Amino acid sequence: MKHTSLLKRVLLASTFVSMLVSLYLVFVWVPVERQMGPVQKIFYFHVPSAWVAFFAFFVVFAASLMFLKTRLELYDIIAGCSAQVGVVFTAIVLITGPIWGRASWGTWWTWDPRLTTTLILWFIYLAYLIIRNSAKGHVRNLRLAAVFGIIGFIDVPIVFMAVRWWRTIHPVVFEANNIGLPPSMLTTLMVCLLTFTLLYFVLLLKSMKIEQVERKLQNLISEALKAY
Amino acid sequence: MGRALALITTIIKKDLVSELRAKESVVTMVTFSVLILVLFSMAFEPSRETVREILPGLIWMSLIFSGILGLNRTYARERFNDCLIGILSSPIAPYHIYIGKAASSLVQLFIVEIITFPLYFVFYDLEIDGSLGILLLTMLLGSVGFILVGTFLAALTSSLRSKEALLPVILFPLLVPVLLASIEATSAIFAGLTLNQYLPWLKLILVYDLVFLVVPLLLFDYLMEVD
Repeated sequence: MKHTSLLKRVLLASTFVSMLVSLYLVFVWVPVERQMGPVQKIFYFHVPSAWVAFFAFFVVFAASLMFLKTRLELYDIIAGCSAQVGVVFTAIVLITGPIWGRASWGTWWTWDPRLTTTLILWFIYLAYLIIRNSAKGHVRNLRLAAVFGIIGFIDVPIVFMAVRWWRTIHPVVFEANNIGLPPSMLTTLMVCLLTFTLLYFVLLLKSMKIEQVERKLQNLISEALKAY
Repeated sequence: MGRALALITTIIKKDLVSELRAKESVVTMVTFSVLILVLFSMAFEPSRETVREILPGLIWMSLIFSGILGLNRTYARERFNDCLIGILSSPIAPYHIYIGKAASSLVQLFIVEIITFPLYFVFYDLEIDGSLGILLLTMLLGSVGFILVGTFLAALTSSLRSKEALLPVILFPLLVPVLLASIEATSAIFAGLTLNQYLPWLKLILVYDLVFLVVPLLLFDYLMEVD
């Protein structure tokens, strides 16, 4: 077995340190928000998760394009694994959002453009994973997944535009709170963003490794069956 | 250009003729959408006030549900005897197939709309305050968007397991913009609002139609590759 590369070890270590620093900043260092109280701390997990989710889906799009162009299996693995991580983080966004919303707006859900777009995004990439799942083990099917990875991403801005108009024509219940962040909160948010980005890469590499091992195993099994 | 048009027309003709002979899609689609219309009037008391509120959504949802039935059949025909490979090895390019299939699906959906739409006037006492011409334009543009994405994704799912169940799941999230815009424009026309109030929606549908005409054209080759 090959040893884990130096880069991976550095990534893992820095994610660990950065996570500890983030937790310290969020729960100890940064002051409690006066109006919303401790519940506002969800913000430091919610926003970075949303960022990671969008970033992950962009990676799916880029990797799908590269796969169609080069036909290297690696790009297919990147796209598939990034989509998995992205769906998990979108789920985190969709869970933490309503908890915060309930505490600060008094309601779990509102059909706000960002909320709605995130929900639709979640459905699109769930569909992508379903395609991948039913497409397992055939070269042709990798292509189908890549095509959907591209077309799904292109749809996202149009969804956002549509939902925004929909909501501006209807009465807006909750204005977006445009309160500028005090420096301490901004620092904490930035560190959390960094941590979550590092975490994304850790999870991506881990799930890619698993996928690669699984494919290797599949190949070995089919070879063994052929030899038999 | 003329040659491409001829090849596309060949596909359209082929599909419509075989549909005319078998009558498998359109009859099912029409029956289904009328059925939805009747069942909904049982689910919601069709009293005059509430009808206006829900009708645009109902019209579009029934259209999309019955449209899905047709889209699932689009490539089913080509599966027998490897017909698709036959078509691909003829001088017909993948994009001819895409445009041709989309056009023939559109014709079938229009037939459904022409038959179903008057029934809304009968069953729900529908009155339109806005212009009928713009309503028809909205129906046309919205249907085009739906069919363009639908035909593309039907090609994607046609070679996968559990394709019939998969198509709605992957199609509906992508349809959100066109569905939303069509429903909003339709209800604005029903209520007799001025053109300025729903023009953005029509533009959005148009943008959607264009995007999902161009992107599938660029990507359709990848769906039709034979390996």
